[in-house]
Amino acid sequence: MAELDLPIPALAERLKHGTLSPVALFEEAEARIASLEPTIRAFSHRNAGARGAAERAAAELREGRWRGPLHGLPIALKDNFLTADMPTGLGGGLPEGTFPARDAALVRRLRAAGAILLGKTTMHGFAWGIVSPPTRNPWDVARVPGGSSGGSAAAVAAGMCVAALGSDTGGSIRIPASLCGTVGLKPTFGLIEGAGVVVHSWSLDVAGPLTRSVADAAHVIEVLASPDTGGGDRRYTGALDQPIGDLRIGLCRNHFLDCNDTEVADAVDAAISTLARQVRSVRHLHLPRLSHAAGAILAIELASASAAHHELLGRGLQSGLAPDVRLLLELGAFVSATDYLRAEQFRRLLMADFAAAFAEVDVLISPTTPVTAWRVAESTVAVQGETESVLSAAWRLTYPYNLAGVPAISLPCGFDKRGLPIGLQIAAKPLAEATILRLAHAYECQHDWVHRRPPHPAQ
Amino acid sequence: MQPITAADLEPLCQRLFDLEVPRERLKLLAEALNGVLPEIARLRELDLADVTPAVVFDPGPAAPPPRDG
Repeated sequence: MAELDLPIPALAERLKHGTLSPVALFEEAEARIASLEPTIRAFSHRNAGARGAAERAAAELREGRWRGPLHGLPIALKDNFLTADMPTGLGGGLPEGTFPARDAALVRRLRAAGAILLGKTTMHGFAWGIVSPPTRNPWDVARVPGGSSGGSAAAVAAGMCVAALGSDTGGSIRIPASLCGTVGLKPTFGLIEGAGVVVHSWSLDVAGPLTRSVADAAHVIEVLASPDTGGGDRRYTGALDQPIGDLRIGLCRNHFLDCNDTEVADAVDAAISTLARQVRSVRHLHLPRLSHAAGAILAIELASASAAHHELLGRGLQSGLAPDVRLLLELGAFVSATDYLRAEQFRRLLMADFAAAFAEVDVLISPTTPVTAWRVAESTVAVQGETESVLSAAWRLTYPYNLAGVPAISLPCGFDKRGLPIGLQIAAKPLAEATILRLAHAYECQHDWVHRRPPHPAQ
Repeated sequence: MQPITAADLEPLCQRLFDLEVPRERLKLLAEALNGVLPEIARLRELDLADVTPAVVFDPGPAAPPPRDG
């Protein structure tokens, strides 16, 4: 196993004690990117200053100045995080210099933790889509990585970096994590400081990590979490090895479990069966108001994204955008103020429903996506014999948790017959990331999914 | 809800919504709206009379928020 493939705690130990140099690790990442990037195309910009940062980290570590578990680790950023030393492209189609050259709060946090920022990863334009062209899925390069954080997920899955940051408005961390076989954590809305992440939807956006394992996600989120957000158990890494016998699992048959691909449903059922033997209880819940949730997320996300980017579009820049992105930004103008506010009223009811559910159970479990990765250029998928658009299918199981603002994780729980990863989603009440990580880690430790790697496309 | 046509949209885009949509794209926009707006309109079926929207107003010190988030 290459050192780049080691988990964060093992890498941190070697870097801290000088048995591994950040420069050597950076060069491993560079070599892998050089080999795989022509096929995977996960990066929109490579950081020319990354080697220098690795050399500075090496010097600090030689002097015994260890900054923490991310010190010297190669990490990538979705292209909607502002950076002082790299352009921000928001998925393409905009002139260079559209966004200011300064570091987002999380970028400052990563730099302060000693992370080596390898570059910006591709994303679906304006974080408004689930394909992320031109990036390909490392498990089958004829298929999409998902989106909108598709480059981040592909880079992590292909082993080009130890971790990457993404953002999630309706599932944009968890969908690509599911399709690419990585871990993706959408934290509680507000837990992570969003300043400097280009806005898509003010009340839905949240940044979070994509990693190869649940434990790695815990290490990254521990660095990212804002100390100013009150409440919740912040001992994310400390929670990992705690027993799970006290946890109550909830299963919501309607919406989450009633319309999924058979292979996906079977893998998730197997995961639930495994966990059911180890937790306190498994309970079935019914959340009937979810049948109206699609209208609410559409009203809020369409209107918000169009409002957020109104000035950009007014500068005549729309002609450079991908047709699907331009269309979504135009659609938002037609959401009436009345419908937008009714969506925000509905959201209150849905939040109350989830609060009631999380009084009875500690976590809700479902697939992350109803299907595995689809082929590039496919616009529809078949789920249980019914044809639907890829967007409608891909985000159906993720956006309810953005509406409610609660944390949710996606982690691998198997592979379909074509060898494509299947994602398991675990959600919990606000600020219960530690509970999610504890259960996810317990599950992950009982399977070898985390150790599987995609085939090298060059081989 | 009656389906929206490109002809319906043309006078509205610039005058009402400040949108520059080339005539050849109006049909595409109309089709997309016919997919999305009925789903949003389903929210009107609900009785939301006593529900306060999940919109936060904070009358704190007046300072413009950062443009990028």
